[in-house]
Amino acid sequence: MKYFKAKSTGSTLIGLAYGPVALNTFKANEDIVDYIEVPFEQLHHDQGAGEFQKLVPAILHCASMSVAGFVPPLENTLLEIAQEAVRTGTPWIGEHLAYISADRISAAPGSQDSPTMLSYTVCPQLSEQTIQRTSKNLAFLRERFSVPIIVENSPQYFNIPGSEMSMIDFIIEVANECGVGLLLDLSHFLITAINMEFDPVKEVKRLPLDKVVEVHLSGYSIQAGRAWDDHSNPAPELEFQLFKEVIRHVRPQAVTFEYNWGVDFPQDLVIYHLTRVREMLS
Amino acid sequence: MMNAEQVHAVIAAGLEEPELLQHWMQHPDQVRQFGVDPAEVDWRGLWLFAGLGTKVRHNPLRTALPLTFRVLKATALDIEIFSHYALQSAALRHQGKNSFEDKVTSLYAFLENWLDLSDNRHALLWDTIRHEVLLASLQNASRDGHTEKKMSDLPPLGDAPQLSVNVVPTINGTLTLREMSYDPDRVQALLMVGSSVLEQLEKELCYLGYWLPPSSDQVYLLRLDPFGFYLLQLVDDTRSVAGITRILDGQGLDLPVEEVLNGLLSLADQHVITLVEKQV
Repeated sequence: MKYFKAKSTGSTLIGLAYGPVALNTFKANEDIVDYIEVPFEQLHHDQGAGEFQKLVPAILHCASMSVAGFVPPLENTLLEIAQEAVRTGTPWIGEHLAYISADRISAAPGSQDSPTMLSYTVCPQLSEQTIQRTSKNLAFLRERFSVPIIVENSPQYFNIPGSEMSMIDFIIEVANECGVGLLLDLSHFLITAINMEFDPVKEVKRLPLDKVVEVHLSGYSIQAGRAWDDHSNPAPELEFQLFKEVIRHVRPQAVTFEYNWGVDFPQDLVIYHLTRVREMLS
Repeated sequence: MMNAEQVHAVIAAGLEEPELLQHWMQHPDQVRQFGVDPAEVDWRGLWLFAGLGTKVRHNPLRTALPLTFRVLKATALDIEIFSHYALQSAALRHQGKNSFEDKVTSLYAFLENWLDLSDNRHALLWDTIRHEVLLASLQNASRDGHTEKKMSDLPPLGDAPQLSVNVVPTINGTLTLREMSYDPDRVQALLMVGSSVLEQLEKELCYLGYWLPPSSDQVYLLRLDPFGFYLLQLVDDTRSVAGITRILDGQGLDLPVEEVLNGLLSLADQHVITLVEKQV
C-alpha cells in the first residue's frame, strides 16, 4: 500500500479524483499523478475501489457527515469513516461544508421518524445559527478521527432562505470560529460567484487563504441561466487565474483535479492541466 | 428569522420528493407551516437543483451511453431534462428499481414522450439515444446467444437459387431498421472535435440498418438507400418477391419486378438476406 506523504514544507502534491479518468491517467503516466482522492462512499459501496492504493497513495474525501447540518451521521457511518481513514493513511478527511440529511418535515418534535437522507450534499443556510452548529459538529467529529477534517465550500445555486450573509463571509466565519482547515473548491467558488453575482477575482482575496490545505479544480456548465457543477468539463481559464491568486498567498498541500464524471474526458487535457499546475507551483 | 434546521428540512424534502416540490411550487403558502417564508424560496432554482442531483445519479449510465451524454452536454439540455425527469426517476427508486437496465429503460421511455422532435436539439438527442440503446441491446443479444443461424449456414453466393417471383427473402441474423434525422457516426466525429461544432450539423434523413449477423458478436451499421430500406421493411421471412411487388403496386409504386429482384439481390450480396425458393 502506498501512503500520502508530504514532500517537504511548502511543496504541493497534485492528484486526481477517483474514477476511470484518474486510473487510466495514472496507468499511462505514473510520474505525474501523486495521489488519487477517493470518496468514502465509493469505498463503502465498492470494496474493489481501494485497489489503486497498491500503486498510488490516497486522500479520503467524504460527503456523509453533514458538517453544516442538524442531523448527525449514524454512529456506524462514523466508525466506517474512521476505519477507512486509518486504512488509507489519508493525511486529512475532506468533507463538504454542507448537509446531506435533515429532519423529516412530517416528524413531530421528539419523534423517532427517520430523517430525510439525500444522496448528494446541499448548501446550508448561511447564518450564525448554522455556524454555531457547524462549530459544535466539528468539535464532536474531530474526536472521532486520527486525522484532521478540512471543509469544502459548497456551490451555491440559489439563495437559501433565512441566510444572513454571503458565502464568502460564511466561509470566513466558519474558518475563524471553528479553527478548521479549508478545502477550497475553485469551481464551486466560481459557480457561486456567477450565480450570486459577485466578482470572483476580487472576492477570492477576502477568503482566509492561509487556512487552505487543499484545492479542487474542475469544470462547470451554464444552463437555464445558472452555473452548475460539471466534472465532465475542464477547469476554465478563470479558475487557473484564481488558483494563481491563491498560491500567491499560500502553498496548499494538495491540488486535486475532479474530472471524474465522464468516462471519455480527453487524457491529453488531463495531463496538460496536471503539468500546468505543477509548473505554476514550481 | 427563519430557523436553519427547518429550512434544511424543507429543502431536503423537496429534493427527495419531486412530487412534493411540484405541489409546493403550485401552493407555496403550504411551506409556512414548516416555518419557511415561501417568498424567500427560489422555487425554480430548487427544482433545477433537483435536476442536477438526478443527473449526477445517472452518471453510471455514461459508460453505456457515452454519445448520448456528450450530446446532452453539447446541447445544454441535461439540467432541464433531468429536472423534468426527477419525478419519474424518484418513482423508480421508490419501487426499488435501481439496476442499470431499469434506469436506461425508464430514461428512454421518458425521453420518448417528453422530447419535442420539431426542436433540432431534441431530435438529435432522440436519434442518439435510440442509436446507442439499440446497439447495446443487439450486442447483449449476441452475448446471450440469441441469434440462431450461423454464418456458415448461409448459402454461398454461387449457390443462390435462380431468381424468380417465387423467391422468399429472409433476414440473416437480426436486423432492426431506423430512420434517423442525424447520422450517429457524423455526430460522434463532430463531437470529437468539440461541442461548438455541433452547430454545423444539419438534419439529413438517413436510413440505417442495425445488423447482427448470425453467430456474430459485431453489430454492423448499414447505410441504406430509401428503396433498400423500404424493401427490407417488407421482408418478413414469408412474403415472396411477387408478394412484395404486389404491396409496392398497392402503394402506388409501380416498379417492374426486375427492379425489386435486383434490389433484393444487392442485399443478398451483402449477406443481409438470403433468397429461398418457395416450395409450391
